[in-house]
Amino acid sequence: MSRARVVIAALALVAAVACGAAAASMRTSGRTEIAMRGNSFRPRRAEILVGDTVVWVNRDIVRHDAVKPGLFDSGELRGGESFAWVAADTGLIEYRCTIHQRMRGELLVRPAK
Amino acid sequence: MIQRLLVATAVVAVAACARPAAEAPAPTISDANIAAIVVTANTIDIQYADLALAKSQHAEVRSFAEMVKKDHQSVNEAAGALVTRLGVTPEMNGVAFDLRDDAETKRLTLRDLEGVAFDSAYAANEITYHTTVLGAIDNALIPSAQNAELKALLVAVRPAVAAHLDHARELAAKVARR
Repeated sequence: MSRARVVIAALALVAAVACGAAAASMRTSGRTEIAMRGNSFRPRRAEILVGDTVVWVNRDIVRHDAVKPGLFDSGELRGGESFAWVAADTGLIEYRCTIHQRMRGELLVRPAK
Repeated sequence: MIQRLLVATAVVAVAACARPAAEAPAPTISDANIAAIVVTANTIDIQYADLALAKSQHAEVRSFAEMVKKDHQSVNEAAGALVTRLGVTPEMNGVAFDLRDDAETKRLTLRDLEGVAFDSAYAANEITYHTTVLGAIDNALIPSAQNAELKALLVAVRPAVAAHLDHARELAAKVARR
């Protein structure tokens, strides 16, 4: 293999790795996990982009849900269960657990870049 | 009941203080006892909640009762699954028996009340009950638990009990303002 070909192959490998890393990073940044723990949503307020996926995971023993009427309703989640929802529009969303009245959270959905 | 639970708590505390620091205190309540106390304590509050749902027309009292019932059912499910997996058979003991018997007496008292009198007594009892249970979790049950998973379950249950206590205090204030 000529030196030029070796260099091209190396550059291609670097580019492939870079693209893979970027893709992996986008997937990670497009997913926000919100824990239901200690009768709270953690984080209580999250900023996301349109198209992002929000995943609520119940880390408590007791059941919780995450509800915004007209937008999403996780149903009752037992400990260890989760619920995913994809944000379609911008805006501030105030949601809550219907079982625990004082358990409230907010999502600020910004335009996708 | 509460006296006995407090005595059990004190016994554990005294036993811990009386021994040299290097020597681990011997548990005075076994894991099987703890399992029975957990299930009994949860079941008692479910029964109080059922009584409230049968008698009260106060929206906030009913909402509170539905919440505590659902939470205690979840804890009992988790405790039942854990003891099954661990092969531990809950063993009733003096504390659990006293909790159960005292609750029965309290339910009879609540059953004879109506309206605001019931709502006030129910809310006050929930404060007393959750204060007692929280103290027992912190001072007797968690320190005595030998199995790591049982201890973790007790630690995980604590926030829900503390939240119930805070909520019960708010409920009592709302009922009193009515």
